[in-house]
Formats: sequence, structure tokens, C-alpha cells
Amino acid sequence: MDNKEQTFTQLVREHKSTIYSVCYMFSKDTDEIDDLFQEILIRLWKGYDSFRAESDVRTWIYRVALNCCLNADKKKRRGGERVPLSVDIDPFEDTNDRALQTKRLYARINRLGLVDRAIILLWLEGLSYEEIGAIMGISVKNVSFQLHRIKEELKKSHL
Amino acid sequence: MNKEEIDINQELEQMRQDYADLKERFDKQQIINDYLIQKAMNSDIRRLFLSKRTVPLGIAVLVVAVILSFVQGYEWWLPVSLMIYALLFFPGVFWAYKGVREEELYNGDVLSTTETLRRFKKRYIVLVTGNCLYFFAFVVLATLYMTSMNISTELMWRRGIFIAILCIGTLTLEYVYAKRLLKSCDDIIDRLQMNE
Repeated sequence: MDNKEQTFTQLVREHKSTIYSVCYMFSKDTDEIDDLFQEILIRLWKGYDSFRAESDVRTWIYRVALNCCLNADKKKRRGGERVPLSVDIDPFEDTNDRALQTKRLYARINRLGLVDRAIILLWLEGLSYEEIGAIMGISVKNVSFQLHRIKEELKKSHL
Repeated sequence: MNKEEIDINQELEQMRQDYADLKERFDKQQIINDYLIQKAMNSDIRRLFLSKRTVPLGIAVLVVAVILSFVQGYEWWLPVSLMIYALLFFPGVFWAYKGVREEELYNGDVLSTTETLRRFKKRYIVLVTGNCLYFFAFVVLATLYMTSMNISTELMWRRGIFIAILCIGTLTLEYVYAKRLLKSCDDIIDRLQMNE
């Protein structure tokens, strides 16, 4: 492994749970998570050279991951060997207390449309309005408007 | 703050807590291994339309076909139509891909990436339509030519009709598929530009 590959491997290991969480919120089963995760890894690697000129790694990872989840054609399955991820929990099937809590969160977020899901996910991650705007390509004022609207939606679905 | 607002704020706080727990659970998982990372580094991205190898390969096949048509002494219209096709199709591919660098496409923000994809998909539909129409016209003209030269047979007509149906079918499928993709792009853009 050369230096670039080692740095990339380290970066991906540091952000694995972030990428996995995004994939989970946009998937219906673990196969879909595996496929999306793999596609995101490839996109991150292919775009790694152009990223290094930028500053914020977290913003870049979210951009690539969300673009994959929103824009990638999920029906167009990746050919060849599928490499299952090393995860010994199944967030869709497990039934213990913590899994139920996860499912409840998943159900709430999945009631929203794709864009709303992406924005609320970034909000749940604790990103600032500026960061959310930079990832989604909208102004800070618009982020505030969108979040207010999404919270109203969540309120409606809660009632 | 009324009760309803307190409820939703509590609900959102609960969601944040649930999400933090979820991330903690995922943090404890291995998720990736060296093999997976190595495989990603050696894999190619899913292409939108044609791979880099397809265009030069296609040009090479067409050039060989044109040369062979002349060498074999086929009717003039066959190599000419192939040449016209090459002159129209390959610039069309470059036009469709203009401004789309697939390796870096998803590095941009969601809005600009979706706009680029929408522009590509619209051009892609034009390209597919052009392809099908050209092929359809080619089959019709070839059949008419053979009829006028009295070399047409019932079998040829059947083949012509079969190819025409194939063209229309392909076009319909492409439209249905592309329309779905375009709608999803439009929805994302509309949503994001709602308050801009």
C-alpha cells in the first residue's frame, strides 16, 4: 500500500459509522446497504485526488454519500462479487431493546421524502447550518426554512 | 411554548439521542476490512452511459465496417449510412457528457450534482431517440431500396417490421426509465430550491 492508499484507508475507517448510518437510512435491507456502501467507497476513492484540495473531510464524505443515496440508480446493481460488510447486527431484523429504538428512529425518518431525510440526517449529526448548506448546495436561510418545514412534517406525522 | 411545541421538541431531542446511540452501535462494528477497501480501490464506478473504452472501440468497429463494405463491394448506401451514423453519434456522446466528469461528479453539493445529472439525462434521451430514429430510417430505406431492386422477399419485410418494433420498444422503455429518473431529479431540485 502506498501513502495515498494508507491515508485513504485511515480516513474511511474513521468515518465508517457515518457512511454506514447514511446507507442505513436510505436502504430497505442489508444487501442494499452493502451495495450503497461499496458504491460510496469507490466514489470516495475516485474523487480522493480532487478532495485533497478542499478543507473539510466530513463535508466531502457527506456530499459523496448523500449524492450516492439520492442520485445513484439503486436498481442498477453493481455487477460482480458482492462483499458483505463485517457487521454482526441486523438493523432491520434484530429485536432487542436497542434495536427497537433504532427501528423507531428509522421509521420516523423514512416517513420523510428523500431530500428531507438527507437534511434531517445532517441535523441529527449535529452539523451547523453552514455545513448543511454546503453539503446540500443551499443557503443558510434556506436550511433554516427547510428544517422548520421538516420539523412541522414530523409533528404532523407524530400527531 | 405550548404543549404541542414541547412535545415535538422532546420528540426531536429523543431522535437525536436515538441517532447518537445508533452511531455508537455502528462504531463498535468492524464494518470494513482491508479486502473491501482494496476492492473499492480497484473497482470502476458505475458509468452513466458508456465506458471510456466503448467510444474508441465503437469508432474502430465502424471504421472497419466501412472499409469492409467498400472492399466487399457492397451497395454505396451501406458504408455511407455507417459513416453518417459515426459522424452523428460520437459527437452526440461527447455533447451528452459535456461538463460531466464521472469520477468527480458526486464530490459536488447535492443540488449542483442533481442539476448536472438532469442535464445529462435529458441529453441522453435525445441521443437514444436519435439513434433509434436513425436506425429505423435506415431499415425502412434499405427495405424500400431492396424492393425497388426486386431483391426484397417476404422474409426481409418480416425482418424489417421486427426491427421497427424493436426500435419502438427500446425507445418506449428508455423514455419510461428516463422519465422516472428525471422526475426524481426534478423532485430533489424543486425541494431544495423551495425557498431560494
